[in-house]
Amino acid sequence: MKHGVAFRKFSRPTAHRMLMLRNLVTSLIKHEQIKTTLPKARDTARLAEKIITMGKKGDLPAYQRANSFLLEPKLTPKVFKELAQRYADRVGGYTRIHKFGNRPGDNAPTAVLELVDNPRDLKFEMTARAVAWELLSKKVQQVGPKTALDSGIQGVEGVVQREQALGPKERGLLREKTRWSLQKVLRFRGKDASVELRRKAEDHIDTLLAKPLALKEIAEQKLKADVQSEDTPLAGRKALRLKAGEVLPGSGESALRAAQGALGAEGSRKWVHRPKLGIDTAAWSSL
Amino acid sequence: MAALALPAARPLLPAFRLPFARPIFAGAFLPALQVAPKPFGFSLQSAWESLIELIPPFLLAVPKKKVSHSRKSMRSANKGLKDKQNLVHCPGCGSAKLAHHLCPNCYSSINRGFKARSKESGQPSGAVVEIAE
Repeated sequence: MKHGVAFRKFSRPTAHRMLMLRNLVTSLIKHEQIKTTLPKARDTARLAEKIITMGKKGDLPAYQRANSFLLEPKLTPKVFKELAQRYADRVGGYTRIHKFGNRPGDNAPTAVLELVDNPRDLKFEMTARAVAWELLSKKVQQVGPKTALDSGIQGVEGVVQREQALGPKERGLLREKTRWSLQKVLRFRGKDASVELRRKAEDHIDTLLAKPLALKEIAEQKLKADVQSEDTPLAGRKALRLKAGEVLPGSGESALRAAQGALGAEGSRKWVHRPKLGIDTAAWSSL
Repeated sequence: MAALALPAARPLLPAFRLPFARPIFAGAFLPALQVAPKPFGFSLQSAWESLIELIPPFLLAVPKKKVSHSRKSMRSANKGLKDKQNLVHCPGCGSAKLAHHLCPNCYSSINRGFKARSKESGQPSGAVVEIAE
Protein backbone atom coordinates (compact mmCIF):
# COMPACT_ATOMS: atom_id res chain seq x y z
CA MET A 1 0.00 0.00 0.00
CA LYS A 2 1.14 3.54 -0.74
CA HIS A 3 -1.56 5.54 1.04
CA GLY A 4 -0.49 9.13 1.68
CA VAL A 5 3.14 8.68 0.59
CA ALA A 6 4.08 11.94 -1.12
CA PHE A 7 7.52 11.32 -2.66
CA ARG A 8 9.06 8.73 -4.95
CA LYS A 9 12.38 7.04 -4.16
CA PHE A 10 13.52 6.25 -7.75
CA SER A 11 15.60 3.29 -6.42
CA ARG A 12 18.27 5.76 -5.33
CA PRO A 13 19.68 6.84 -1.98
CA THR A 14 18.61 10.26 -0.73
CA ALA A 15 21.72 12.16 -1.83
CA HIS A 16 21.62 10.73 -5.36
CA ARG A 17 17.88 11.31 -5.65
CA MET A 18 18.06 14.94 -4.54
CA LEU A 19 20.97 15.67 -6.86
CA MET A 20 19.12 14.06 -9.78
CA LEU A 21 16.01 16.16 -9.14
CA ARG A 22 18.09 19.31 -8.75
CA ASN A 23 19.71 18.54 -12.08
CA LEU A 24 16.32 18.05 -13.72
CA VAL A 25 14.95 21.30 -12.30
CA THR A 26 18.07 23.19 -13.39
CA SER A 27 17.75 21.76 -16.91
CA LEU A 28 14.07 22.65 -17.04
CA ILE A 29 14.75 26.25 -16.09
CA LYS A 30 17.63 26.43 -18.56
CA HIS A 31 15.89 24.90 -21.60
CA GLU A 32 12.22 25.44 -20.61
CA GLN A 33 11.27 22.09 -22.19
CA ILE A 34 12.75 18.69 -21.34
CA LYS A 35 11.91 15.07 -22.12
CA THR A 36 12.26 12.49 -19.36
CA THR A 37 10.33 9.61 -17.76
CA LEU A 38 6.85 10.35 -16.44
CA PRO A 39 7.48 9.77 -12.69
CA LYS A 40 10.64 11.93 -12.85
CA ALA A 41 8.69 14.62 -14.68
CA ARG A 42 6.02 14.64 -11.98
CA ASP A 43 8.50 15.02 -9.13
CA THR A 44 10.53 17.60 -11.04
CA ALA A 45 7.40 19.65 -11.77
CA ARG A 46 6.58 19.79 -8.09
CA LEU A 47 10.04 21.07 -7.14
CA ALA A 48 10.34 23.46 -10.09
CA GLU A 49 7.07 25.15 -9.17
CA LYS A 50 8.35 25.68 -5.64
CA ILE A 51 11.49 27.35 -7.03
CA ILE A 52 9.39 29.60 -9.23
CA THR A 53 7.27 30.50 -6.19
CA MET A 54 10.49 31.56 -4.46
CA GLY A 55 11.25 33.65 -7.54
CA LYS A 56 7.88 35.35 -7.32
CA LYS A 57 8.41 36.08 -3.63
CA GLY A 58 11.59 37.92 -4.58
CA ASP A 59 13.21 38.64 -1.21
CA LEU A 60 16.79 37.84 -0.18
CA PRO A 61 16.17 34.65 1.85
CA ALA A 62 14.18 33.23 -1.07
CA TYR A 63 17.00 34.13 -3.45
CA GLN A 64 19.52 32.39 -1.23
CA ARG A 65 17.38 29.29 -0.98
CA ALA A 66 16.79 29.09 -4.73
CA ASN A 67 20.47 29.77 -5.39
CA SER A 68 21.53 26.89 -3.17
CA PHE A 69 19.05 24.53 -4.82
CA LEU A 70 19.90 25.22 -8.45
CA LEU A 71 23.13 23.73 -9.76
CA GLU A 72 23.90 26.69 -12.04
CA PRO A 73 23.96 29.94 -10.06
CA LYS A 74 23.68 32.04 -13.21
CA LEU A 75 20.11 30.71 -13.69
CA THR A 76 18.79 32.19 -10.44
CA PRO A 77 18.45 35.74 -11.92
CA LYS A 78 16.42 34.19 -14.75
CA VAL A 79 13.99 32.72 -12.21
CA PHE A 80 13.71 35.95 -10.24
CA LYS A 81 13.33 38.31 -13.21
CA GLU A 82 12.08 36.60 -16.37
CA LEU A 83 9.98 33.77 -14.91
CA ALA A 84 8.62 35.86 -12.03
CA GLN A 85 7.42 38.43 -14.57
CA ARG A 86 5.97 35.78 -16.88
CA TYR A 87 3.98 34.13 -14.09
CA ALA A 88 3.11 37.28 -12.14
CA ASP A 89 -0.66 36.89 -12.70
CA ARG A 90 -0.75 33.10 -12.81
CA VAL A 91 -1.67 31.41 -9.54
CA GLY A 92 0.39 28.22 -9.53
CA GLY A 93 0.61 25.62 -12.29
CA TYR A 94 3.73 26.96 -13.94
CA THR A 95 4.66 23.63 -15.50
CA ARG A 96 2.89 21.28 -17.87
CA ILE A 97 3.43 17.56 -18.50
CA HIS A 98 2.62 15.99 -21.88
CA LYS A 99 2.66 12.21 -21.98
CA PHE A 100 4.71 10.98 -24.92
CA GLY A 101 4.51 7.21 -25.32
CA ASN A 102 7.09 4.64 -24.21
CA ARG A 103 10.87 4.69 -24.59
CA PRO A 104 12.21 1.95 -26.94
CA GLY A 105 15.09 0.71 -24.73
CA ASP A 106 13.23 -0.09 -21.52
CA ASN A 107 9.55 0.64 -22.38
CA ALA A 108 9.51 3.41 -19.77
CA PRO A 109 6.58 5.83 -20.08
CA THR A 110 8.08 9.18 -21.11
CA ALA A 111 6.80 12.72 -20.91
CA VAL A 112 7.69 16.19 -22.11
CA LEU A 113 7.87 18.61 -19.19
CA GLU A 114 7.70 22.29 -20.10
CA LEU A 115 7.28 25.68 -18.51
CA VAL A 116 3.90 27.17 -19.41
CA ASP A 117 3.96 30.12 -21.86
CA ASN A 118 7.55 29.42 -22.93
CA PRO A 119 8.55 30.41 -26.50
CA ARG A 120 8.09 26.78 -27.66
CA ASP A 121 4.86 26.10 -25.78
CA LEU A 122 3.50 22.81 -27.16
CA LYS A 123 -0.10 23.37 -26.08
CA PHE A 124 -0.11 26.74 -27.87
CA GLU A 125 1.15 25.12 -31.08
CA MET A 126 -1.28 22.22 -30.89
CA THR A 127 -4.23 24.55 -30.21
CA ALA A 128 -3.33 26.60 -33.28
CA ARG A 129 -3.23 23.40 -35.35
CA ALA A 130 -6.52 22.15 -33.93
CA VAL A 131 -8.21 25.48 -34.75
CA ALA A 132 -6.82 25.25 -38.30
CA TRP A 133 -8.03 21.65 -38.74
CA GLU A 134 -11.54 22.38 -37.47
CA LEU A 135 -12.06 25.49 -39.58
CA LEU A 136 -10.82 23.66 -42.67
CA SER A 137 -13.01 20.63 -41.87
CA LYS A 138 -16.10 22.81 -41.60
CA LYS A 139 -15.32 24.54 -44.90
CA VAL A 140 -14.63 21.26 -46.71
CA GLN A 141 -17.86 19.73 -45.42
CA GLN A 142 -19.81 22.76 -46.66
CA VAL A 143 -18.29 23.51 -50.07
CA GLY A 144 -15.93 20.62 -50.88
CA PRO A 145 -12.14 20.53 -50.98
CA LYS A 146 -11.65 22.12 -54.40
CA THR A 147 -13.57 25.27 -53.52
CA ALA A 148 -11.90 25.38 -50.11
CA LEU A 149 -8.52 25.28 -51.82
CA ASP A 150 -9.41 28.03 -54.27
CA SER A 151 -10.97 30.35 -51.72
CA GLY A 152 -8.88 29.57 -48.64
CA ILE A 153 -10.05 30.29 -45.11
CA GLN A 154 -10.80 33.92 -44.29
CA GLY A 155 -11.57 35.48 -40.95
CA VAL A 156 -9.42 33.31 -38.67
CA GLU A 157 -8.73 36.35 -36.48
CA GLY A 158 -12.43 37.02 -36.05
CA VAL A 159 -13.05 33.40 -35.14
CA VAL A 160 -10.28 33.48 -32.51
CA GLN A 161 -11.65 36.68 -30.96
CA ARG A 162 -15.23 35.43 -30.88
CA GLU A 163 -14.33 32.01 -29.47
CA GLN A 164 -12.28 33.64 -26.71
CA ALA A 165 -15.43 35.31 -25.41
CA LEU A 166 -17.80 32.35 -25.74
CA GLY A 167 -18.86 30.23 -22.76
CA PRO A 168 -18.45 26.45 -22.57
CA LYS A 169 -22.07 25.57 -23.36
CA GLU A 170 -22.56 28.07 -26.23
CA ARG A 171 -22.34 26.97 -29.84
CA GLY A 172 -19.53 28.29 -32.02
CA LEU A 173 -17.31 27.16 -34.86
CA LEU A 174 -14.90 25.20 -32.67
CA ARG A 175 -15.35 22.05 -30.62
CA GLU A 176 -15.84 22.53 -26.86
CA LYS A 177 -12.39 21.17 -26.00
CA THR A 178 -10.61 23.27 -28.63
CA ARG A 179 -12.37 26.41 -27.43
CA TRP A 180 -11.39 25.63 -23.84
CA SER A 181 -7.73 25.13 -24.86
CA LEU A 182 -7.84 28.37 -26.85
CA GLN A 183 -9.11 30.33 -23.87
CA LYS A 184 -6.53 28.76 -21.58
CA VAL A 185 -3.47 29.42 -23.76
CA LEU A 186 -4.49 33.03 -24.43
CA ARG A 187 -5.43 33.88 -20.85
CA PHE A 188 -2.14 35.03 -19.36
CA ARG A 189 -0.36 36.06 -22.55
CA GLY A 190 -0.33 39.55 -24.03
CA LYS A 191 -2.15 40.92 -27.06
CA ASP A 192 0.49 39.51 -29.42
CA ALA A 193 -0.53 35.98 -28.50
CA SER A 194 -3.79 35.92 -30.47
CA VAL A 195 -1.98 37.37 -33.51
CA GLU A 196 0.68 34.67 -33.17
CA LEU A 197 -1.99 31.96 -32.85
CA ARG A 198 -3.80 33.23 -35.93
CA ARG A 199 -0.56 33.20 -37.92
CA LYS A 200 0.25 29.64 -36.88
CA ALA A 201 -3.31 28.47 -37.67
CA GLU A 202 -3.17 30.02 -41.14
CA ASP A 203 0.22 28.38 -41.81
CA HIS A 204 -1.20 25.03 -40.79
CA ILE A 205 -4.25 25.45 -43.04
CA ASP A 206 -1.87 25.99 -45.96
CA THR A 207 0.09 22.87 -45.01
CA LEU A 208 -3.08 20.76 -44.81
CA LEU A 209 -4.24 21.95 -48.22
CA ALA A 210 -0.83 21.52 -49.80
CA LYS A 211 -0.44 17.87 -48.82
CA PRO A 212 -2.96 16.20 -51.18
CA LEU A 213 -1.97 18.54 -53.99
CA ALA A 214 1.63 17.51 -53.66
CA LEU A 215 0.55 13.86 -53.55
CA LYS A 216 -1.45 14.32 -56.74
CA GLU A 217 1.47 16.03 -58.44
CA ILE A 218 3.83 13.25 -57.52
CA ALA A 219 1.36 10.61 -58.68
CA GLU A 220 1.13 12.37 -62.05
CA GLN A 221 4.90 12.53 -62.32
CA LYS A 222 5.09 8.84 -61.58
CA LEU A 223 2.72 8.10 -64.44
CA LYS A 224 4.81 10.20 -66.84
CA ALA A 225 8.26 8.87 -66.05
CA ASP A 226 8.93 5.18 -65.53
CA VAL A 227 12.56 5.76 -64.74
CA GLN A 228 13.34 7.30 -61.36
CA SER A 229 15.10 10.63 -61.77
CA GLU A 230 16.76 12.96 -59.27
CA ASP A 231 13.72 15.27 -59.32
CA THR A 232 11.36 12.68 -57.91
CA PRO A 233 13.02 11.29 -54.78
CA LEU A 234 11.52 8.13 -53.35
CA ALA A 235 11.72 9.44 -49.80
CA GLY A 236 9.55 12.46 -50.64
CA ARG A 237 6.88 10.30 -52.17
CA LYS A 238 6.80 7.92 -49.25
CA ALA A 239 6.64 10.75 -46.75
CA LEU A 240 3.50 12.17 -48.34
CA ARG A 241 1.62 8.93 -48.45
CA LEU A 242 -1.17 8.74 -45.90
CA LYS A 243 -0.45 6.34 -43.10
CA ALA A 244 -2.83 3.77 -41.61
CA GLY A 245 -5.47 5.48 -39.52
CA GLU A 246 -4.70 8.93 -40.92
CA VAL A 247 -7.63 11.09 -42.08
CA LEU A 248 -7.97 14.23 -44.15
CA PRO A 249 -9.87 17.34 -43.06
CA GLY A 250 -13.61 16.92 -43.40
CA SER A 251 -13.67 13.19 -42.77
CA GLY A 252 -15.80 12.11 -39.83
CA GLU A 253 -14.30 8.66 -39.20
CA SER A 254 -13.21 7.54 -35.77
CA ALA A 255 -9.59 6.51 -35.37
CA LEU A 256 -10.46 3.25 -33.60
CA ARG A 257 -12.90 2.28 -36.35
CA ALA A 258 -10.38 3.12 -39.01
CA ALA A 259 -7.70 1.08 -37.31
CA GLN A 260 -10.06 -1.91 -37.07
CA GLY A 261 -10.55 -1.88 -40.83
CA ALA A 262 -12.70 -4.74 -42.08
CA LEU A 263 -13.11 -6.10 -38.56
CA GLY A 264 -14.96 -2.94 -37.44
CA ALA A 265 -18.72 -2.52 -37.09
CA GLU A 266 -20.40 -3.79 -40.25
CA GLY A 267 -23.57 -1.78 -39.84
CA SER A 268 -21.95 1.63 -40.31
CA ARG A 269 -20.06 0.68 -43.48
CA LYS A 270 -21.71 0.57 -46.89
CA TRP A 271 -20.46 -2.36 -48.94
CA VAL A 272 -20.46 -0.31 -52.12
CA HIS A 273 -18.20 2.40 -50.72
CA ARG A 274 -14.82 0.78 -49.98
CA PRO A 275 -12.79 3.49 -48.32
CA LYS A 276 -9.04 3.26 -47.89
CA LEU A 277 -8.32 3.47 -44.18
CA GLY A 278 -9.34 6.91 -42.95
CA ILE A 279 -9.60 8.72 -46.32
CA ASP A 280 -12.90 10.16 -47.32
CA THR A 281 -12.18 9.51 -50.98
CA ALA A 282 -15.49 10.94 -52.17
CA ALA A 283 -14.54 14.42 -50.95
CA TRP A 284 -10.85 14.47 -51.82
CA SER A 285 -10.63 12.53 -55.09
CA SER A 286 -12.11 15.42 -57.02
CA LEU A 287 -9.32 17.78 -55.94
CA MET B 1 35.42 -73.80 18.12
CA ALA B 2 32.21 -72.18 19.11
CA ALA B 3 30.34 -70.57 16.26
CA LEU B 4 30.02 -66.92 16.67
CA ALA B 5 26.42 -65.94 17.08
CA LEU B 6 25.94 -63.22 14.57
CA PRO B 7 23.83 -60.35 15.84
CA ALA B 8 20.54 -59.71 14.05
CA ALA B 9 20.63 -57.13 11.28
CA ARG B 10 19.77 -53.88 12.86
CA PRO B 11 19.88 -50.37 11.45
CA LEU B 12 23.35 -48.99 11.70
CA LEU B 13 22.36 -45.35 11.43
CA PRO B 14 19.65 -44.87 14.04
CA ALA B 15 20.67 -41.26 14.59
CA PHE B 16 19.84 -40.30 11.00
CA ARG B 17 16.36 -41.81 10.99
CA LEU B 18 14.08 -38.73 11.11
CA PRO B 19 10.52 -39.84 10.36
CA PHE B 20 8.99 -36.33 10.29
CA ALA B 21 11.70 -34.00 8.99
CA ARG B 22 13.25 -34.48 5.54
CA PRO B 23 16.50 -32.64 5.39
CA ILE B 24 16.88 -30.64 2.13
CA PHE B 25 20.63 -31.02 2.03
CA ALA B 26 20.35 -34.80 1.91
CA GLY B 27 22.43 -34.65 -1.23
CA ALA B 28 25.40 -33.61 0.85
CA PHE B 29 25.16 -36.86 2.76
CA LEU B 30 25.14 -38.96 -0.37
CA PRO B 31 28.87 -38.97 -1.16
CA ALA B 32 29.64 -39.59 2.52
CA LEU B 33 27.34 -42.60 2.55
CA GLN B 34 28.78 -43.91 -0.73
CA VAL B 35 32.35 -43.53 0.50
CA ALA B 36 31.57 -45.15 3.87
CA PRO B 37 32.38 -48.87 4.00
CA LYS B 38 29.55 -51.33 3.46
CA PRO B 39 28.01 -51.89 6.90
CA PHE B 40 28.28 -55.38 8.12
CA GLY B 41 24.86 -57.13 7.94
CA PHE B 42 23.14 -54.12 6.34
CA SER B 43 21.06 -55.25 3.32
CA LEU B 44 21.09 -53.16 0.14
CA GLN B 45 17.28 -52.88 0.05
CA SER B 46 16.89 -51.15 3.42
CA ALA B 47 19.88 -48.90 2.61
CA TRP B 48 18.12 -47.68 -0.53
CA GLU B 49 14.86 -47.17 1.40
CA SER B 50 16.55 -45.06 4.04
CA LEU B 51 18.18 -43.04 1.32
CA ILE B 52 14.81 -42.35 -0.35
CA GLU B 53 13.41 -41.11 2.94
CA LEU B 54 16.14 -38.49 3.17
CA ILE B 55 15.55 -37.05 -0.33
CA PRO B 56 12.52 -34.72 -0.63
CA PRO B 57 9.81 -36.05 -3.00
CA PHE B 58 9.86 -33.13 -5.47
CA LEU B 59 13.37 -34.10 -6.57
CA LEU B 60 12.01 -37.33 -7.97
CA ALA B 61 9.08 -35.86 -10.00
CA VAL B 62 9.49 -36.12 -13.76
CA PRO B 63 7.14 -35.51 -16.75
CA LYS B 64 5.71 -38.74 -18.06
CA LYS B 65 5.30 -37.65 -21.72
CA LYS B 66 6.31 -34.78 -23.98
CA VAL B 67 3.65 -32.06 -23.80
CA SER B 68 1.80 -32.16 -27.10
CA HIS B 69 1.77 -29.21 -29.49
CA SER B 70 -1.95 -28.87 -28.95
CA ARG B 71 -1.79 -28.71 -25.17
CA LYS B 72 1.18 -26.34 -25.30
CA SER B 73 -0.71 -23.99 -27.64
CA MET B 74 -3.83 -24.12 -25.49
CA ARG B 75 -1.80 -23.07 -22.47
CA SER B 76 -0.39 -20.02 -24.28
CA ALA B 77 -3.79 -18.97 -25.70
CA ASN B 78 -4.07 -16.14 -23.15
CA LYS B 79 -0.48 -14.96 -23.46
CA GLY B 80 -0.86 -12.93 -26.66
CA LEU B 81 -0.38 -9.15 -26.91
CA LYS B 82 -3.53 -7.13 -26.22
CA ASP B 83 -4.82 -4.60 -28.74
CA LYS B 84 -4.66 -0.94 -27.83
CA GLN B 85 -8.13 0.55 -27.47
CA ASN B 86 -7.10 4.14 -26.68
CA LEU B 87 -6.56 5.28 -30.29
CA VAL B 88 -7.81 8.69 -31.40
CA HIS B 89 -7.24 11.13 -34.27
CA CYS B 90 -4.76 13.93 -33.66
CA PRO B 91 -6.75 17.20 -33.59
CA GLY B 92 -3.97 18.92 -35.53
CA CYS B 93 -3.01 16.56 -38.34
CA GLY B 94 -5.61 13.78 -38.37
CA SER B 95 -3.20 10.88 -37.95
CA ALA B 96 -3.75 8.12 -35.41
CA LYS B 97 -2.29 8.64 -31.92
CA LEU B 98 -2.62 7.37 -28.36
CA ALA B 99 -5.30 9.12 -26.30
CA HIS B 100 -3.97 11.73 -23.84
CA HIS B 101 -0.51 11.56 -25.43
CA LEU B 102 1.36 13.91 -27.76
CA CYS B 103 1.02 13.27 -31.46
CA PRO B 104 4.51 12.23 -32.64
CA ASN B 105 4.00 13.67 -36.13
CA CYS B 106 2.97 17.07 -34.83
CA TYR B 107 5.69 17.08 -32.15
CA SER B 108 8.29 16.18 -34.76
CA SER B 109 7.21 18.89 -37.21
CA ILE B 110 6.93 21.52 -34.43
CA ASN B 111 10.44 20.70 -33.24
CA ARG B 112 11.86 20.76 -36.73
CA GLY B 113 10.22 24.11 -37.36
CA PHE B 114 11.77 25.62 -34.24
CA LYS B 115 15.18 24.16 -35.01
CA ALA B 116 15.09 25.49 -38.56
CA ARG B 117 14.09 28.95 -37.30
CA SER B 118 16.77 29.03 -34.61
CA LYS B 119 19.35 27.89 -37.17
CA GLU B 120 18.32 30.74 -39.50
CA SER B 121 18.56 33.36 -36.76
CA GLY B 122 21.85 31.97 -35.43
CA GLN B 123 20.91 29.50 -32.67
CA PRO B 124 19.40 31.72 -29.96
CA SER B 125 17.93 28.95 -27.76
CA GLY B 126 18.70 25.29 -27.21
CA ALA B 127 16.60 22.41 -28.48
CA VAL B 128 14.47 20.09 -26.33
CA VAL B 129 16.94 18.18 -24.22
CA GLU B 130 16.45 14.47 -23.53
CA ILE B 131 17.37 13.82 -19.91
CA ALA B 132 18.16 10.11 -19.62
CA GLU B 133 19.30 10.06 -15.97
